[in-house]
Amino acid sequence: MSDLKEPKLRDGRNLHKHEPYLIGEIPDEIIRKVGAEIVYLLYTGRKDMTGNDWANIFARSIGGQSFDSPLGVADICCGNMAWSMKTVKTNSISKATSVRLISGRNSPDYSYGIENPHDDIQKTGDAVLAIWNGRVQIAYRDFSPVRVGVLIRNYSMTEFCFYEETIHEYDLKKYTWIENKQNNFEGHDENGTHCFTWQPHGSQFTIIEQIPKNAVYFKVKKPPLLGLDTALKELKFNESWVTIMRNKG
Amino acid sequence: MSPTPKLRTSRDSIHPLNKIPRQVVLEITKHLAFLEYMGVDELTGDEWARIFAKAVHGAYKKSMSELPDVIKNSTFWSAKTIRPAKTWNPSKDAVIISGRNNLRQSYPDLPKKYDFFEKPDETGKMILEIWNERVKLAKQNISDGREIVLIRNQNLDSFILYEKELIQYNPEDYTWKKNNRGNLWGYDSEGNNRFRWQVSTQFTIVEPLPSTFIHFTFPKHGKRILLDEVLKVVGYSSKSVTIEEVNKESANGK
Repeated sequence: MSDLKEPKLRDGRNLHKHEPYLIGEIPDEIIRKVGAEIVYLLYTGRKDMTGNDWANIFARSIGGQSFDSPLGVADICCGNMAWSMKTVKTNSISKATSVRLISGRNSPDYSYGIENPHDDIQKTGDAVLAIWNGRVQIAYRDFSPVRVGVLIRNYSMTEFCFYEETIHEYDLKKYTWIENKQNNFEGHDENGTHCFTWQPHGSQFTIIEQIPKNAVYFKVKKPPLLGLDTALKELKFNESWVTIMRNKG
Repeated sequence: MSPTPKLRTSRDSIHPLNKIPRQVVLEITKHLAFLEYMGVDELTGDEWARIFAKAVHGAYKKSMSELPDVIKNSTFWSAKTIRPAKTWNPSKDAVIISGRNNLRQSYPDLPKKYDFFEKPDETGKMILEIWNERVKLAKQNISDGREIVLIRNQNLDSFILYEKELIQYNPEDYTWKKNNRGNLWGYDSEGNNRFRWQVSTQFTIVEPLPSTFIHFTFPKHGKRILLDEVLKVVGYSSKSVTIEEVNKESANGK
């Protein structure tokens, strides 16, 4: 029986995983495409990169597509795979060992009717993780596997660290929740490691991840800037394009 | 021979409140056309502040917590841009996110389990005092403080532009109620909603447009500078990207 090939099934999407490359083995070619896109941003005068920029850059670099709105945790897809795309800024790329990834607004009040989150910290924390798990399930309904693609950037957008991890649901039983001095909630694993933060005011959910050893570090050379006048000349901009009306109520 | 005196030019002068010169509007449209050419299809608050600063030949001042975004001589502006729903029209109010009013941070003596909704008027007073303090601080050195608001449509080809004086509000003039989404709304004496506050600290001012405002349009040009063109112009080669394999334990001295 072990010599038989995998059977072809009607619902083959999740069975036949499509991974363009293994985690930790992203080809240099894709990194260079990401680098080129960043050079483009810098040339056109951009001083920073948004989450949407990052999602679009990575989608184009791997030949995938961005979603207009997230599908659960997923922002982009390529074939049968999906990614949640995150980017964070740091002063020193080489010294960073962990990142805090803002991972959505999880409202136990809206999702579970928990009006006062402080009444039962553990129950609230469980609800926060359950909401995350629900979003992960949504993504896995249509794609598998689902990864997070994290780009850590420095303030001048010239140095970067990129890594990926497979996204999974969390086992609620493995995390203990406490309230910290800032009145935020912290989730700790069985080793006492701080893994999650949740803010009651705003419902922001943050996952704290260690940067893995297989992360890729890369730099880009800063290009000269595209000038406004050069662009306007290229566009043949003319003041007659503009219609101005002064409304008096 | 006495040195040539430095004279103020029209670039140095500030226009009267809400009498925005045509040239400023034209400068704004140039930058919007430029953004489209760069492939940017949305206008952020930061970008709007930068554009307005260039249009009035002022200085852009980025700060997360202070009101002034643009400064020129003895005037500063808080620059706001909003994109209301398609059904919005100028007879309706502009709903403007106006900062984060964090009551716990600003009033550290508040009890840990203070219920923001138990006495809504009291909470509302604290919310407005935070705004008032921010305005007071901003006007300490520059008394002419203005709000410059750009209302943009979904397609970024039709805009409304107006200026208003940046003011403080008298908390006694407003009553507050919790709405069905768990937010606090402040109402003036005529029952109009003027403020909104979320427990997440977001503070919103709901204001009618002034009696005069500018409406300007200009068509999308549809051109975009392409990635390949840029890479050619900057002389990009794959050598522009350095990829390193870093042993983190060695790098961190472990």
